[in-house]
Amino acid sequence: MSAIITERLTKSFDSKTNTVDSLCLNVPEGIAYGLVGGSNSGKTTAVKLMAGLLVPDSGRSLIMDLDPVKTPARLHKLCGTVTPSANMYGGMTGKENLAFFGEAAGLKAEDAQVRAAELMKDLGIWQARDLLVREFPTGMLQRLSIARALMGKPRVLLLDEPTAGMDTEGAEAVLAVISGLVREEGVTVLLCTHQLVYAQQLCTQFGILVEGKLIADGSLETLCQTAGCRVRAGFRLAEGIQLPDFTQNADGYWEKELESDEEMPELLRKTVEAGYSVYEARLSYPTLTDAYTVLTDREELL
Amino acid sequence: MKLPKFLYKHIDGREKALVKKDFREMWQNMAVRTMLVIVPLIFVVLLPIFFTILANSLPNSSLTGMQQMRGLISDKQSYMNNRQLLFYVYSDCLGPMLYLIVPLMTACVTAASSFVGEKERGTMATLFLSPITAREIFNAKLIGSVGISAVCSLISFVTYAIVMTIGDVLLGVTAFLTNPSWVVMVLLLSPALIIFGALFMVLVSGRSHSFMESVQICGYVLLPLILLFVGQFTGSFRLHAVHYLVLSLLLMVADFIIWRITSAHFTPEKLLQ
Repeated sequence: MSAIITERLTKSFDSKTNTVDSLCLNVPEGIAYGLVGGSNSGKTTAVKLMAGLLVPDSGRSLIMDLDPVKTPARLHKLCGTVTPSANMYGGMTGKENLAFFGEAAGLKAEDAQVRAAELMKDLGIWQARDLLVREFPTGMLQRLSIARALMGKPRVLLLDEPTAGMDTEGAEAVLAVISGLVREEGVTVLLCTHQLVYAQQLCTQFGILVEGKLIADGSLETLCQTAGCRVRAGFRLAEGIQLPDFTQNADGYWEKELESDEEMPELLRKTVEAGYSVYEARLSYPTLTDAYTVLTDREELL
Repeated sequence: MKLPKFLYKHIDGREKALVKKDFREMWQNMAVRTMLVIVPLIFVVLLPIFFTILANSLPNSSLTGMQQMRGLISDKQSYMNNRQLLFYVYSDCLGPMLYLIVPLMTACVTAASSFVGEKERGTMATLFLSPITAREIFNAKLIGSVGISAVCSLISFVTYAIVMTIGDVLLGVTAFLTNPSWVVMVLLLSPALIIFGALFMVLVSGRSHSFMESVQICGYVLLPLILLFVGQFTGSFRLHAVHYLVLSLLLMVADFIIWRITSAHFTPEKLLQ
């Protein structure tokens, strides 16, 4: 079953250019899908349209078969959303915020307290439970927002830049939690981000958004094939030695593209047999960043 | 702090949580708290006390302007001396206007905090992402601000009644207690004004970007009220219970129309622009 479907979803704010342009997505249930793109690519607008904060000019979106325009409250019972424009109450503590949103989600006051404590512990922010939200550091605030989105035990999570402004350690912790939700609880995640490394770490399917248009989608392998990115063999040789048909990388390795990684043993054998002393050999698989760079021709994002 | 039970007798748990949260936020906001305390204190306590003291200290000899003031009263009150006259005119012409500022201002301020404040803090979007409909959010917020204003206005009226009754006794007149207009004002006009003030704030909340900006807009709502009573004070016309009744009914009709408009336009897209 598809958890998220968008059918030619279109939104314009100035009647001239479409911020989201005929976006078609089909995200199966239980996976993490990365919708990646640079600034002004339409990621946030897409999330807002899917969450019902904006009404599309044309097209529609469905989350678990629910239309965000027609049945927003029912949809939000099944779908938690984290977006930078959705703040928490600064004058309330983290726990009070979560308890309030739990009650707003229909939980009894006592159940909301228990759920809030449970999530704060899971997300590693329990120690800050009595801290006013306005005093929360960015990383903790993001985790608190994710906890807020999880209060109603959603089956779908829409995450718009959940790791923005976080240090590596904090971002990794957040990704680990989200990854756990996908793996252990079968939650479907739509991750909108410009941080391609994190998207690759978490997601199994991707969509590349440029100026509101989905220019490519599929698994990493599919994207790499579409972009023509291949696995590369790399050899470290003695200093000053050159390897014909190979190009030298910035780290000193001599690299060559392969059709597949199965060619590596043969290539290594031939190189050694040709009299080269190979100090180290490696295979470099193409990343989402490689595919994105080729497909969008936009290196400024990286 | 707990709200009176009647405020959330007819709303469900989710709306109740929202009303409680709004009330808490209002109380945490120094500007709202100050206005909820200072406005009634000035208009229903300090000013009436000031006029009572002023009337008591007035010489009984002929004073400039007193003759014109006598034109504002009916033949029944012609027996009054200068002190009684000043107190009576205050009680009949100026007092109601000053009292009615309380429900209107408190409704505007609480609704501004609840609707515009939420938008200003960027938490309105978060509310719209909760499993609660826009209609429920609208109703809960309206119930919260109207309820608090109603409680505040009622306390203000009781306080005002005490102060004015003391004035009546001190000056030997029955200026306040015998005025039937108060029944209409407290039971009909005041609630209609509260709802009007709150809905007016919702109406402008789409365009207002900050709590203070929307509170300043309150001034426009107060203007017709002030003009209505200034006209009375200058002797152009006099308002009686029946006039207040008609005014209340007209205001209720206006409330209904604005309620229909504002609730229909209370959508995430329009509010989060």
